[in-house]
Amino acid sequence: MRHILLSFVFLQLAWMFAPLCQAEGYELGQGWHSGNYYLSGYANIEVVDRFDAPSRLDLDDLSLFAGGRVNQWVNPFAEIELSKHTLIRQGGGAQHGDVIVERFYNDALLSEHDTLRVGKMLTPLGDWNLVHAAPLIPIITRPYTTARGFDEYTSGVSWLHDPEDGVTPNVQIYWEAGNEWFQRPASQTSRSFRNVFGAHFSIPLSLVNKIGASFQHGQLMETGEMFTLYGVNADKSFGKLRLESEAITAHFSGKVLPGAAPRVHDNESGIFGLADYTVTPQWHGILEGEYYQDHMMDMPSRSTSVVVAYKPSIPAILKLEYIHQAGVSASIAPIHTGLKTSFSFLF
Amino acid sequence: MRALLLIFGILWASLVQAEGLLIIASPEVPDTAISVKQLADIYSSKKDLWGNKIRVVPVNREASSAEREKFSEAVFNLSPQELGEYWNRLSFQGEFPPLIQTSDQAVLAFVRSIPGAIGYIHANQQPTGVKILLRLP
Repeated sequence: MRHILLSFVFLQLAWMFAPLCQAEGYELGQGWHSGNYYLSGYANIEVVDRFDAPSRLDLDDLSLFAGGRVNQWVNPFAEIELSKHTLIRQGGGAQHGDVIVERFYNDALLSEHDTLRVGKMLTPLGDWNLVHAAPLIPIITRPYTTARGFDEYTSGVSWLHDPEDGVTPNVQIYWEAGNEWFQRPASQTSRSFRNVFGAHFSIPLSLVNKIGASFQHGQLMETGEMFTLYGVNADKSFGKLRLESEAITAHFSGKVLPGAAPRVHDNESGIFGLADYTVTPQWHGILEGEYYQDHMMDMPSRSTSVVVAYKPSIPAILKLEYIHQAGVSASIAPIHTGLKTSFSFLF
Repeated sequence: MRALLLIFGILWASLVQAEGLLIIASPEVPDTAISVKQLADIYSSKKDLWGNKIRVVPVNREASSAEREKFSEAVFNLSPQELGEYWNRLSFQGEFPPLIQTSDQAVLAFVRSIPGAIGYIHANQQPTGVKILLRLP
């Protein structure tokens, strides 16, 4: 019943949004603009054919985001999404999705180069965590390295420094004094964090390429362990070839809470590399590989994927992915051997 | 013969000049000129305020226009598609991508009426009520 109700609610939202899309000030892919406000979003539909489980058709993401520029001190932004909503599953048993408040914050412009952000935001750790919307990334399966080992969301305050010279690093420092606001349900994540602080530094190599380094310290709530994480990220284009990589290593310490899964390793680490070759402006061939050792699992995940992507226009992308898992997959956001197809677009 | 060559030369020069773009800004913008680097900072959302604290409001042409293609290549050395992908990423991160206007006249009217606005139009236009900050070849 909830499954049907959720579909109904989002159909209603789409119905309400449709007149805006036909209005002047609407640009496909960049949303609807009116004066100092805008409304935009994206959708991602996936067909997942795991070789060891029933196939399914998912509405993986339906996201709406809105922002405003009121004055120097009031610049709100919010994103809400329906996530992991199974539409059809082979043999029945569809799973309803969850409505999640992804982001909800205000930016105060302290100066031309400094911003104070207060609210729930994406944590600046690597590059993928900041930009992971399906239409904007080249592959379907998100690597563990880009999400699993750290707090993806910061609920608190952050200072962003964005110098103009292109040489001095961009800096973002953040602090979460407590738990995640609008906490995601357990069906969406196996880990939640609290009392987290960290920093991210990045240097642009060009308009679209950069290198960066990250740090994060906090507590994993499910086990009570403290962790300290370091990460690096880089992406660089060489003509038609774009290379991208992120790596993290985290050290876990402290007693594990009674009843929680025991710690198998003191360290958790991962690295992924991706090569994206532009065959034509529309067609891309992508190779990706990842090694990830979870500190609560005996064996690492070792996955490889081959992807063909077609971009009929800027705001849409069609992907076909074959992924092979040679190690062990985590239970949440599993990376299993199989075929996936996705169609995603910004609207 | 010389007269013909002279006329041909003048016509050729005017055609070449007309192929460029004019960077125009609203009268409230304090600057009287702008560099390509400053223009790139504005259109990549790195510069948000003019010197007099008025917010910068960049205006773009639609993705399929020749003016946008010329602007993307002259300022960023990127194709309109590559630049479009960059702006889509900005939009996802809560930044405002440049607003779209679908003709030179619409860009001109917008820039003339919105304080802090900046845009580009074909160089064969003779705009009034705006500042011309730069001519791109």
